[in-house]
Amino acid sequence: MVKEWAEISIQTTQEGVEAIANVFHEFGAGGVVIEDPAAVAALRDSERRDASEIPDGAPVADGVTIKAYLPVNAHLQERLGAIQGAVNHVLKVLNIDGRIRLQRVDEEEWSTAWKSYYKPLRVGRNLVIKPSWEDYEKQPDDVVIELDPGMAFGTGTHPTTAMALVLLEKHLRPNTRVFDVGTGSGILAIAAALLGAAEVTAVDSDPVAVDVAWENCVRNGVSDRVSVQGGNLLEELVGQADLVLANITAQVLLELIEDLPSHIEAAGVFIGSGVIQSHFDEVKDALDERGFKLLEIIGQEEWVAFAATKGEEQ
Amino acid sequence: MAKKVMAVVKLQVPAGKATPAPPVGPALGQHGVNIMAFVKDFNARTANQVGMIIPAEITIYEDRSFTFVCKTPPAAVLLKKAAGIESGSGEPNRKKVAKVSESKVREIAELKMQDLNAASVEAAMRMVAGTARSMGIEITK
Repeated sequence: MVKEWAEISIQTTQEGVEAIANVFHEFGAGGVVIEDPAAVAALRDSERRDASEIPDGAPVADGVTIKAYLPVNAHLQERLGAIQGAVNHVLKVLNIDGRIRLQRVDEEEWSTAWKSYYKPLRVGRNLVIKPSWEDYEKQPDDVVIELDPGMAFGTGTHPTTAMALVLLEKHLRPNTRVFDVGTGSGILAIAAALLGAAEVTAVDSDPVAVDVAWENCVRNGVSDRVSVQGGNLLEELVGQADLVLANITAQVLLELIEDLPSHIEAAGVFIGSGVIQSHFDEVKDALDERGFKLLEIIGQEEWVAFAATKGEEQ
Repeated sequence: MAKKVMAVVKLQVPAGKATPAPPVGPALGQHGVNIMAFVKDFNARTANQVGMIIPAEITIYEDRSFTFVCKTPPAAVLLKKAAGIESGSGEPNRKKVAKVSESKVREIAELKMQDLNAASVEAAMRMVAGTARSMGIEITK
């Protein structure tokens, strides 16, 4: 992973935003950030005014800043030169001013800032997610998961994770075998182990997640029951599980459901999450087609999570 | 209870393909937002539009929770699509690479009016026309 990036920012007027953003896209910047003081003002005047209290004193400065980032490597100077040339052309054609600024940014500066807002959190009946750097006084029935998600998904604060945990707590039976597909930080796999699963196999296609999940397993003392491996969906998983967990997205779940029957016990339970409301019907049809009956559907914000089985209702 | 807005961030990123790397990382990370949560939400919502650049406007609250709305593709992307080209001209002053009709410019301006912070359709049209010129796209009657 690149640790150092060059930030190129251009301060200009509204007219230049789309054209300059386009220059960045065409030079393969992978996206742009637009810092637009007018956006806060626009929000203040919009219908969303009721939902939020906007500080009246928020400054409305003239001008907009467009930023893009390039990895610091041997091609950097060449790419910067080409981008500067193209930006200058745009400014000239539009007859507007623009100030180009360059600075280096270190990943450490922004990748960990969110940690100071991540606090212990209660989910479901007895589960408590505790960031590894926070203190928490354990109550009698608490099942505490200690977590440092790093750059992997799954802090427990996201509705999709929280709902998957709620369903897991309800549908997991002790001494069973669990697959956790797309484990991210390992949060669901660790929860399964702490809630009494005998054997958990967690898989993720992202090597960063595999490392992070394993560190979290060790941190929670479940490394004897949980194994973490790299791999795409169910492809590398051997045998059948009593419970399969997958908090990914509707599109990926559709793919996973195709292979699901061969990886789940006849009476096994499938817990799926990460489905946007508008895509739930597609997932439901796919489950139906393979003989899965929905046991439970829950929703939070725009997200849906569910538990399904091919067996008899429990 | 109403939550206090701390910042509004605008991004343009490839649909379904956002990552925690820049620009998403620093743009949201500096405000204390959980970057991975945004990445998951954005990719889930835009999975049907892969191949497009999608603007998103993220509202960040004081407790570091956030909401966001996805917008229609940027004017420059719509112009390229209308003109049937992959990229703009490297020398927009001298080398024109395509033509787009004025009615098409109006259509794009109407679609993008709000996102461009334009006061009127005419103002939005001037901005879209400027963007076209800067890319070496000629506007025909």
